[in-house]
Amino acid sequence: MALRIVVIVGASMAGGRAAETLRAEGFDGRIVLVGAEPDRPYERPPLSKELLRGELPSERVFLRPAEFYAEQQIETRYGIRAIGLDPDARVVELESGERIGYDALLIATGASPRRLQVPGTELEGIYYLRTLRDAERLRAALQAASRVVVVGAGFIGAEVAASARQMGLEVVLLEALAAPLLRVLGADVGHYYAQFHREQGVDVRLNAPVAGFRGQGRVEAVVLGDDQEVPCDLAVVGVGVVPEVAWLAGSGVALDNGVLADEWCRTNRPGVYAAGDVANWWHPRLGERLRVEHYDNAQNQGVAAARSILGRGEPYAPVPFFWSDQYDLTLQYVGHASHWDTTCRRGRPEDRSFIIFYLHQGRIRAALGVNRFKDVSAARRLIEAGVVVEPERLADESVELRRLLPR
Amino acid sequence: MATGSGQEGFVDVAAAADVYDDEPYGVKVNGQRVVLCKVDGQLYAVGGLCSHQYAELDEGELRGCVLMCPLHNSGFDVRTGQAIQLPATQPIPTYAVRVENGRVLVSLHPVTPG
Repeated sequence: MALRIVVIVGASMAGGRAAETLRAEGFDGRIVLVGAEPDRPYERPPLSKELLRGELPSERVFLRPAEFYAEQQIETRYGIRAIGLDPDARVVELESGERIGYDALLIATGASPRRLQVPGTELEGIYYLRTLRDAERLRAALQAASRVVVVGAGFIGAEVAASARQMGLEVVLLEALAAPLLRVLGADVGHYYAQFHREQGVDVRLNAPVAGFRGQGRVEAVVLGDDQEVPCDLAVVGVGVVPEVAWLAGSGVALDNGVLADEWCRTNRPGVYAAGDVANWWHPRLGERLRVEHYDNAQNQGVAAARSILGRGEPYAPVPFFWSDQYDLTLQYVGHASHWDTTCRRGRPEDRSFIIFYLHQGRIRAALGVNRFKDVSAARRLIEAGVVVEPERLADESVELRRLLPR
Repeated sequence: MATGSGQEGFVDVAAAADVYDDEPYGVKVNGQRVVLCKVDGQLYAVGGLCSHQYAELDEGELRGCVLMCPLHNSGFDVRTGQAIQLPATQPIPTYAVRVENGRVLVSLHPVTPG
């Protein structure tokens, strides 16, 4: 089938990078970029950091200047949701009533914050953070508040807690589990992070699941599982995200924890591709499915999907990468370790510069660095090369990591 | 980090012997951060800050002729300054560089690629 029209649903990092890649690769057909949000594609990382603290204006987060899309002849539909897909007729239906035919469709609808299902969530003053507009509203609320409770010590919660503290608020950080970031990073790193936040004056409470919110019209306190109350002017909830797939119900596109895709970003329906937070794709080198909710993947999988649409794709098998900035700590994680049998550490947390390696059967699966840039670069290459290495050598600071690479 | 003083539009920033292959070497030229990069024995000098967000490129890794940003993994071709790996899309400046009497001299006048 000739490729004349590519429709991208999701004016996101993945969708935006896909659109610009199609043009950069010489595609001269029609490109339609559809987004539920009112804005053109932007970077989300600053939303919980510089932008939230008022250090970065909103104009600085966009991937491209506003005129870029017109110059590149990329048609845009912002502030309009896709509500249906007919893969047999190859038509996407928008909430505006418009129906757009496609030769190739990229699903890049991302994910939405998981909502807490507890009493009191209808009260005012309870915030979630996903979009630029969410961040602008939360920024204004934080600027007017003196005490905030953050529910969930994952990356978003921890970054919001750090930013709020830097803005001078009293901050209580609640985590339902025994340590922040427990599932991804393990208990040791979680405890370091709890400690880092406490040193900055955050009241970190672990094993503290939320039972509800209390207030008269407006939240006045977060109620914990043991009926203890934590008073607040506002609450921010960061308890994960769920892939945005409701609009695909009944379309026949295979769904399971997102949109199922292969290493070419292809779904089970012809001409339909998926990329970014919404895609649960087969990673050929790892030999497992991954759904990654981070910037680097959204960007690179968007590019990979565009090339695949043009018939110039390669199997998408990256070493996953994400980072988180909290206070003066830059955390960087490379690789993917859903399980590991050994960890080892180079450097000391008390020096605020260390890297932890997660190994399985002798191979480095992932590494987490804090203020440890060169070692993270080296770790990425060691993971890529599938090097088998003794943990003692990884931990030994007298051994330069990149010397462990095969020559 | 070395700082040099100028002569005829070039400034002495380092001993050539101190710059190793595949080891980005940070210097200052006219108060600006610059990174010396040695690729297969050839010296290049580029602006020391990432064009994406504030990051000091001398902390990054040199992979062949590509200087990687330590923060978000953008990549720049040190021969041209062009951004060749996302998230950066804008180039970084390049500087003329030459070696005289074992010293590295860098032009005071960066060139920003189009």
